[in-house]
Amino acid sequence: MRHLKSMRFRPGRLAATALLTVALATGWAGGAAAADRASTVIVAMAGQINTLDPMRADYSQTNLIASAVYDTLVTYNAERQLVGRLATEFSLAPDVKSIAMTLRSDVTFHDGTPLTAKDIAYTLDRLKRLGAGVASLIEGYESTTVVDDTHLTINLSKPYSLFLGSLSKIYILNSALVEANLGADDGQGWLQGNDAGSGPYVLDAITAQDVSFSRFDGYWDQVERRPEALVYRRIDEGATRRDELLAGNIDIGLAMADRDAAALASNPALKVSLLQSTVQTEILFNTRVGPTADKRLRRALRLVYDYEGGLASIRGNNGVIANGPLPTPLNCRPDLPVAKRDIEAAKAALAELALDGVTLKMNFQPAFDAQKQEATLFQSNMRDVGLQLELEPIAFPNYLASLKDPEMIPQMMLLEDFAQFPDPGIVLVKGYHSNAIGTNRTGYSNPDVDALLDAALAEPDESRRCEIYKQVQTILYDDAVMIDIYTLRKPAVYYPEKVEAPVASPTGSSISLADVRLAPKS
Amino acid sequence: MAVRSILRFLLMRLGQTILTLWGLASLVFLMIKLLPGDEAQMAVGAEASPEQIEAARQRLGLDAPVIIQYLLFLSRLVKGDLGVSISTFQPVLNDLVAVFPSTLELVSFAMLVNLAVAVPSAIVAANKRGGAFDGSSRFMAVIFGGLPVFWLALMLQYLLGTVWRLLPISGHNAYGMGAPILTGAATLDALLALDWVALADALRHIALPAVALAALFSTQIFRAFRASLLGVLTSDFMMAVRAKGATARRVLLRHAVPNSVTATLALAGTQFGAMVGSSVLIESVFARKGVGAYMFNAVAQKDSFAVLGSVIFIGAVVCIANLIVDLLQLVVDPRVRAAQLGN
Amino acid sequence: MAATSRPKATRALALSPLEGFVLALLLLLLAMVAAGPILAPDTVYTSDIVNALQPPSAEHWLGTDDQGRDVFWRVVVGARATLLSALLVVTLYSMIGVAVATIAAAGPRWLDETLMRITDLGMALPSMIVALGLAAALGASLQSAIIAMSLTGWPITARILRAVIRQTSEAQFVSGAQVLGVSKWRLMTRHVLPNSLDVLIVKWASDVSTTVLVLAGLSFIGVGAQPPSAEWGAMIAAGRSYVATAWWTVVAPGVAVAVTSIAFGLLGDIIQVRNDPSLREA
Repeated sequence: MRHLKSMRFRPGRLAATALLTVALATGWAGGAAAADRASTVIVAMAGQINTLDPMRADYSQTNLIASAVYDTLVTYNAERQLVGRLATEFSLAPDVKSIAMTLRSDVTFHDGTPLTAKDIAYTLDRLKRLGAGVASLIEGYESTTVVDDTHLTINLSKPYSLFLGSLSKIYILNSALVEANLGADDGQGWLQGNDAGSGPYVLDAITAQDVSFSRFDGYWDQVERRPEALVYRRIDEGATRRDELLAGNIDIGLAMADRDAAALASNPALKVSLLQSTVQTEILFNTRVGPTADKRLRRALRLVYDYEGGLASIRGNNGVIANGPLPTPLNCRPDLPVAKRDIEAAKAALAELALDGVTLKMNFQPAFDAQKQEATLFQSNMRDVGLQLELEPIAFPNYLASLKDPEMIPQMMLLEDFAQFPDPGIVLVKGYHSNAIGTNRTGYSNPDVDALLDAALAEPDESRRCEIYKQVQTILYDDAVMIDIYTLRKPAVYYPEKVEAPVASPTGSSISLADVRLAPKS
Repeated sequence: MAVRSILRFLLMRLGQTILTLWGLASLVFLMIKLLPGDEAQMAVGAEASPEQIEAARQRLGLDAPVIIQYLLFLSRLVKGDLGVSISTFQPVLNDLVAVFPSTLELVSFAMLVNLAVAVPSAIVAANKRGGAFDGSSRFMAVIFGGLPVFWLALMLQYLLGTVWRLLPISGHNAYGMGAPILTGAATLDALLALDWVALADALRHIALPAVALAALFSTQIFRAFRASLLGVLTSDFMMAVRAKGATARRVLLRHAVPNSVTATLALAGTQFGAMVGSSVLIESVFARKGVGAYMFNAVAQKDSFAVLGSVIFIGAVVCIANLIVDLLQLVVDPRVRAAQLGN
Repeated sequence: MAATSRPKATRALALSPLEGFVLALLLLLLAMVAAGPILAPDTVYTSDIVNALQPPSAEHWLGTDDQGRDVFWRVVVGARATLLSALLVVTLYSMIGVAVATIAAAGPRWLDETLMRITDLGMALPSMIVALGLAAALGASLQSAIIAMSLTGWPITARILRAVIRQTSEAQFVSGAQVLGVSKWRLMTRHVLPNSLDVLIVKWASDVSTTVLVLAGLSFIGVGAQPPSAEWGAMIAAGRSYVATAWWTVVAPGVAVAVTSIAFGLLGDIIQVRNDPSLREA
């Protein structure tokens, strides 16, 4: 009667079920977690992890990872002053066309090779060859003269006062390692998932969702309480970041939604750190082609957005309404009025323009919740003045690609932009010089501004440069090149028992992974 | 069973599958041609140098007549060259093969849950038709059959994950619990490494996604299987069986169930494709990797070759799955055997 | 109506309580589609950001969403985006499916084979995947989602209809008509198709049920309706971050989708039972 038995659990099946139950139960009880979770710090942020190639450090995610795995020649400290890292001495020649440098002699790459001047030369030459990503920052780079292992001179083809500051975003590659893995694309394919750096962490593994590192004990800059291991997790959903934080699966949540941060602040185990970086929310116009090429329209649209409402409801008041094209933490800013909503004035200004049947279009990145909300808010604000705004999603790499051609630049783009490093010059030159194709987000072309910026680039004296920058900003404001909305303080939420308070990185939009420290044991 | 007729059937089905795959490839080729923009530019990305674009033009044979391009395209496909992703800089096939096991794992567990819930429920419901269980399970089937997959996923994630902390809310495994990545499917990797703790952890992470994905399909199987069982149970043939004196249980299991399996198997087979399609929703809610998530990222970044490569890959997978289901039906059901092989 | 082979079943004109309930629900949904945007206040698309995420109250029956808009009215207005699109898609591809099935069944053998191979192809591609692909090519919008769903929906309908048509064609009464010299075309339109209609209508209702879910899913991941559309899937996506703090933003549109899907599913069941009373449950 075998078929009758089929209704009962066969012994094998029973055993399997029992095993499964035991396994699940042990999992439930927590099991034996990784022994070093206590000395591992897990950081979570939103956004696609595309590549580890430090050439692409213009993407926030790549920059964050590069900050752990690579070193730069110089960097900015908390007071926003330029200090040396790999370079112990550096000096800009009076004609602003060359930089002499002395390097540290005690730096080794993760594979044991010593870092020497030829690696600097290789990194810069490769950037010049490929001309993508952060290569736009080292404009004017000509060549590097390697004097010996620790001495070199960088030669520029034209005066470029921003070069030294730009070096804070140039991560130095292990030339021998990259050369051995060139492939057909100058190492880009290999560097997408591999580590050629000398930084405080070594890359362990990378997937599309997370990157893990372990501490490089041969690092030249030994500090206390650097975690043994780091994990960077990509979690796009703000609510998931929050829940994983509450569950203890992450130690630091970056760019948390302001509402979530406010709610988490009341949790005794967590703390909120408002990172003051140079991130500014803006709507960038296409100033060359289309209806937004008209300055009067741009000036009118500047009066439409609900600045206070947006700051209060979407950003939880974690920021300051903008007063000019530069984010508030930067210096050399002139006195410009704070952005304000004025519907009546907007309507009056728009009435003079023939705008019947014109639909305006704005691009935004849907991956970022707050920006999506701001785009929707602006769309609604536009209806208040009788204008139709169409919203279209775009991914950041595609947006960058569209900047190459004024015809392709979006009519309007909502963006959280930030200064690559805290020098007003880089924002102004890269953003508004007509030659800065690829980084000039608005297609702006004004010979007066060009002349001023060129003068600043050739000017060795900082205070004189400052004056020029102020003049430029006033012109930009008059021309309403973009709608400056607010400078943000982005909440980072963390466990103070586990880690020290995260600090804003002067050369990025959030933190530098190299700065993560475990909390002191009490 | 004549071996020749089996062979003939197999060849015919295989031929059909290949024909469908060829049709799929041709469709994708058409789509590539119809996409706006320069194809060589699409292949290497917007940041590429003119030399790289020219190299791509040569490699893809874009200066040749369309028919040559088409043949080149097909020959590349056969070699497994789906193009290179412009966001990961890796060959698309490599990217897909890396993430596909994760989706397969999700769909497999979902199918398991699906059948494990639907089949016994249908048997019990059909057995005691009109009873309390029958009524309540049919009611549940109606409700769950209308819940959107992603909404159910969000609700489960919130209730069971965030509020009651019973199960994890995202990812494949907790930190440090992951077994070395061999296949890409967390449960399989743990199994291969004989790491039971990792296995338990991976199972806990896949529980909610699998249940959320399975729910809707489970109601379909339940209704179909139950209807089929009832059809058999009320047929004249069954009267004869009962007249012979068989017990109710025997009637059910020995006769009703086997007769209903084929149709249900066919339904489950078609559900496979739908599950792969819906995986993108689950992978989004639970932050899991997989072909759905990969394709979604590719769409967001306008990575055309990654998108089209995904379409071909997924289409091929579903095609092959359909073939397997057809063959399974052949093995399982003598009526199908007779029908397909008899002529 | 054309002559049918079915014995005229005694049509009970009275509706059972369940049938009445479902019918009432469907009428309500259709009313939302037709009249929703007319009745709703203009503020449905207007942001009132300082009042974002307010809980249900006398003023806002289902609270406000992340832009401060009234959730109740957005759900009402969203019916047009979600349900109307689904009705459009399914009706469209059902018609294509019928056409293809008729041609396949009535036409020469090679045409039948070719069309069946094409449907094989159509069945190999999950609709979500095609929708994603089309979104890449045409840009993310409700229109591209609708096109994608229409393209992937017809093969199964065609297959089923073809089988039904064949079955009906082989029935006795048809061969009887053939003997009488009725043309093939007339046979198809006057005799075979009307009988296949029953199956088609049931399938139509069940398809609307699933299409509503798929369309909402596409908008949820962002390749369907775009802001400020009140499409239900998009509303769920927008409220996703607030499941814990403002549950009404997710629950309300979710229930709307579920109710619509269930209602059409039940409609299919009801029609099926009415067609074939032997299927009636206790």
